[in-house]
Amino acid sequence: MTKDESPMSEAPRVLIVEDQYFVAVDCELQLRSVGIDCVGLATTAAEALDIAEREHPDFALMDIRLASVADGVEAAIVLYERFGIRCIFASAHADAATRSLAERAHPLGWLDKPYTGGQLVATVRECLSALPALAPDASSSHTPSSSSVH
Amino acid sequence: MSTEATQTAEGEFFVVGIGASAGGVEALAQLFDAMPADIEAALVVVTHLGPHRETLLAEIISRTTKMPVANATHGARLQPGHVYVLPAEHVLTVKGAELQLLRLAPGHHERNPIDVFFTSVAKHWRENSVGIVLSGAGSDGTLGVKAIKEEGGLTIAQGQNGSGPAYDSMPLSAVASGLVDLVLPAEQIGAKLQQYVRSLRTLETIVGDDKDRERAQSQAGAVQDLYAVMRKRVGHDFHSYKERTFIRRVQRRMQVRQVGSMPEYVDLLRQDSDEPRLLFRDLLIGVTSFFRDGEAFAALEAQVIPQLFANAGAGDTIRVWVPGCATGEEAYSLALLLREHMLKVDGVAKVQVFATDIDEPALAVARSGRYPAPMLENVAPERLKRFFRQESQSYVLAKEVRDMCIFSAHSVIRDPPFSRMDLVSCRNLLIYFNTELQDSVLPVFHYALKPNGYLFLGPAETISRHTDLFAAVDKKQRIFQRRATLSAAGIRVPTWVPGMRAADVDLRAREGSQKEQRLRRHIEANVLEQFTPAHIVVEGDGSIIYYSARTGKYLEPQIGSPSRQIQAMARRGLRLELRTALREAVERRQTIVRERVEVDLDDRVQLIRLTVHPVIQGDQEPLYLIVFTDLGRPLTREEAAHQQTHADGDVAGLEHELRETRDRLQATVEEYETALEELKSGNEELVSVNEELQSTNEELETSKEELQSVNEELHTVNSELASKVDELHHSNADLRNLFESTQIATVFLDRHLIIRSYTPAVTGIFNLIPGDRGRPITDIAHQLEDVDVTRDIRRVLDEHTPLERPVRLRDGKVFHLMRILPYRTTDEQNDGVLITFVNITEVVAAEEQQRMLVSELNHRVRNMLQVVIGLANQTLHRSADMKQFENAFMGRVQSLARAYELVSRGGWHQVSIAELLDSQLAPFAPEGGRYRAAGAPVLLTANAALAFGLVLYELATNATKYGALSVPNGQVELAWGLEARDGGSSALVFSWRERGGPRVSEPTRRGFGSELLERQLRYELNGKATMEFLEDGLQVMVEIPASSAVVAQARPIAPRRP
Repeated sequence: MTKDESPMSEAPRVLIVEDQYFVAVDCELQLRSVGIDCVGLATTAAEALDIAEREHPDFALMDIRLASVADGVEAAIVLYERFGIRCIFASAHADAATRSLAERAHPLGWLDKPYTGGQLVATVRECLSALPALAPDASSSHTPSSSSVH
Repeated sequence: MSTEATQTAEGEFFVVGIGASAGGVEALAQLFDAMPADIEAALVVVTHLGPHRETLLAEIISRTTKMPVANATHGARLQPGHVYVLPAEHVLTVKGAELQLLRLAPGHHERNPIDVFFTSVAKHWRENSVGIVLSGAGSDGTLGVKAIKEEGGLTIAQGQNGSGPAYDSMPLSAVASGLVDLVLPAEQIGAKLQQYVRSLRTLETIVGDDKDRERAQSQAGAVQDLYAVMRKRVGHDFHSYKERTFIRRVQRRMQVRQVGSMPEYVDLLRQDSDEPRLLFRDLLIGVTSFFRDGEAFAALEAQVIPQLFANAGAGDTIRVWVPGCATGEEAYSLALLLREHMLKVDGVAKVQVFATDIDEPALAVARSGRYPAPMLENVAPERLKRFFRQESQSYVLAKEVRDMCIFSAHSVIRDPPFSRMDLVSCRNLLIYFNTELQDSVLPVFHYALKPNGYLFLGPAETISRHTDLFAAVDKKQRIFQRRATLSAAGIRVPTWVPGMRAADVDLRAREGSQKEQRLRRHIEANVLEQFTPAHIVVEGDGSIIYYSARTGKYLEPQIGSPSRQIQAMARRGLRLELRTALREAVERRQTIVRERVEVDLDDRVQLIRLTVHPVIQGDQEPLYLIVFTDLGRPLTREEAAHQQTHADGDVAGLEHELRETRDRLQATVEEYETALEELKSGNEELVSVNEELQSTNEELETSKEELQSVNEELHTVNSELASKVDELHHSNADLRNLFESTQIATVFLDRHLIIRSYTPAVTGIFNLIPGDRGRPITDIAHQLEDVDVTRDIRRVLDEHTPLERPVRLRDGKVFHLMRILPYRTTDEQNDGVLITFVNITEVVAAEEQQRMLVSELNHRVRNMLQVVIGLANQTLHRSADMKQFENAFMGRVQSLARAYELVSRGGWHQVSIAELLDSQLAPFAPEGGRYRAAGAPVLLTANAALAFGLVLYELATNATKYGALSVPNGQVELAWGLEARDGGSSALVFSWRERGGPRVSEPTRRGFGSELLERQLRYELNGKATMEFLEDGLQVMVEIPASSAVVAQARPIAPRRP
């Protein structure tokens, strides 16, 4: 619980997009336990965009099927194209067509449901190492294209 | 050819075949009555006997002869001096010295038993065979006589005498063939036969024995003379002929001409103009037989026939003329060769064989196309099998060959020739002609032939000096080709003026004489005209052929059509005298004179002397000169009457008149007798005609019955056929309906991929129109995407295994299952293919849906497991120990499971709120009656049901632990409904009210459950929950926007994208 309370501005910040309450809170719990801040939980694409615009997370954990009509792939593409935010897709069953469609969002990685907390953490860590801004010694300056919107 | 052994062993005696038919009993009786009993010959009687008729013939014959007479039996050995009679319903032949008796199958009868027997005798007994044809109707025996003649035997036909033959067509037919040696009345045959047999036995001595050396030498000299004479007279050298055969034939001519010795005969040959030719004919006889001179026919087949067909197109007719066809063997041999060639080559010309002869009876034989088996020995067995039908002992030509030949009576000498012939085959006819006639006939053949047409002659015939007309193709086999050089003007067509008489010719000849003679004749004519009494010249029957001047006084034309009859033209009074006088003159061949004949001249009477004088010129029919000499001037009737009365007193005159009257009476009686005889013979003819008609009638009756039975059979067959056709019709209709109803597109192709038929549904796949039947499928465009139909079809045709392939139409929406099957005929032969297209669009769609459903299920299960992991983590996070975790987690998982059961039962789509309550609350109040639930029927979405189910579970768990359900009398009231909210939306409102429980306070009731209740509702369903801790129990109010939780109306399950 100590990590939760320490205001670590350098800590990576994540947006969790997931329509299942228990899954969402579990992810939040797991990531926070390894020092990743959760800037918000979203159940729909619109909600995700709202939070992203407001909080500018470093990356997003994106469920593909959402409570909204627009699905996670569409949300991810907008996130990337509008805010430069890339996603780790979490999906129960992503076929090849979906995966190729998702390429436009330059995904960081893929997580197959069901995943354990350990798998989640490992995947997130691996993906973060690919983000230059979040490499072990990098500073916190990022959000490349935030100025271009709204 | 039979062996020499047969000759010597069985040459001891003769075998005489005696053929008879209608009227034969009488003839046989006459024959045997006069037959010497010691004759060294076996006599075999063959007659036409109707079936089922027992015959007493043997008995009748035995009454007339001393020789033993018996019905013939099978295997009986022939013995000289014996008579054998053919029993009814049998056919008789000989084999060596044994009789072969063959019983006919019932219902069959041999039409030509005489031919059959004679030919077998000819074959086995050769020179020692004799054939006798007696009275009978038809032409049986003619071919037999020919066979015997060919082998050098003797042939005899019954000739006319006072009483026979009763029916002469059979002997006449034999005679007409020109092959009968002797024509004799029945009673003379025996003696002649005896003479012949004895003379030939002498001949044996001449040829084979040298006892009488001197005589033999003189004979040998005579034979050399014969050769010389023949070479000189007919231009043919017989040195190369077998001497024995040669002498036998000479001997027979000697018999016929009744010449006693060979040197005498040589003299006869030198003197007689006809005899050398007749002998020549006899020596060469028999060359008209099936394929006689096989080499010549082989040459014709090889060299000429292919040429004939090569020159003719399919529509043309190859015309062949066989003049002198006799009984037709030569014509049929040619027809056979031509037919064989026709069968070998396709689409050839038709063939017409014109076979002609002057001999009508022979033509009748030819037309019947029926020959006894021995006559066909030169016909190859395969030809016999292919072109003949065997009937008992005879062979009948197949219709296909028979129909190629036309037989007609025609004389190559007298009648105008045929024309435009491709081939003229005239074998062994020219040998019957003298050189002059030959010279006139060959140009006729030249005229008859087309340019380059062929002429086929017999081995002893040549084109002599007509090398300008014909070129030799094969000189040895006498095949010639027409030369085209001669102009049309040069054709020498025979002329024949009917009615021209030798006398006229003589008259004309004399006209060409000298001037002096002309003067003399002129004077003679004047004298004749001026000073001779009127006269006319008539023939024996009274027809006038010459009038002198001034005959009008005695003759006058008759009423009606002009007549040359003297009897009709004579004036009154003259007629009777004229007739009797002429008759007398004809009979006596003397000059007849009638005095004082009265001729009526209108009102007066002229007395004349009538003289009839026969004019005899050589051997011609005599003519009669009738001279009318007037006696004094014409008298009036009174004067005449006076003279008559005056004459009455004259006894001599009376006697003269009486004599004349008697003569007239005698003539009348004779005339009457002649008429009577004519009537008799007319009657006989009528009787025979009647008999023939009767037998024809019987035959017709039989035919009619046969036809009737055939008709009945046909009826049966027809009705069967009709019912079969009906069945077929129904089956066809069923099939058509089946095809149309199943909508299975089907195409039938043959092995060349030609469309045989198809069902209407095919038009959606192949662009077929009704006219496309019979076109190859490869020509037809189709709507299938990426399919090489032709290749697939060929594969099936090659491998004989069916092929199945799903195919898609070009529009991309419709799928078919294409099946290509080998088309099996009823006899299991592959004959093309059958292509069917079954529409599987729905199946494909269903499969796709199935696939997506499985995928969706996979997704949901994985998702649910993720939820369970999250739930487990959350529960673990808030549990004090494992016991607490286990209770809480298991309960929640079970609640989740119950909710899932409802969700899946609702097709992952909708769950009734009442059912959800039941399933979630039931475990907490097994005794019942603890809940009171009321609300409108509302359907929750799947997500809402899952979330809400967990909420209910938490509430019930808390109530059981701490609330109303923890005491026996506590109750829970549940109520729900849809309420309208601002902006036209609505919300699902749900209340949970506990009553009768222990007093509760807020802190004790808050925990994971309530937090979950609030946060989950808010998070997942956008709803909210408020809790109030009232005195008598907890009250929870839940409100969820209808848009996120409630199903507006029932929808079927639909897959979502993952």
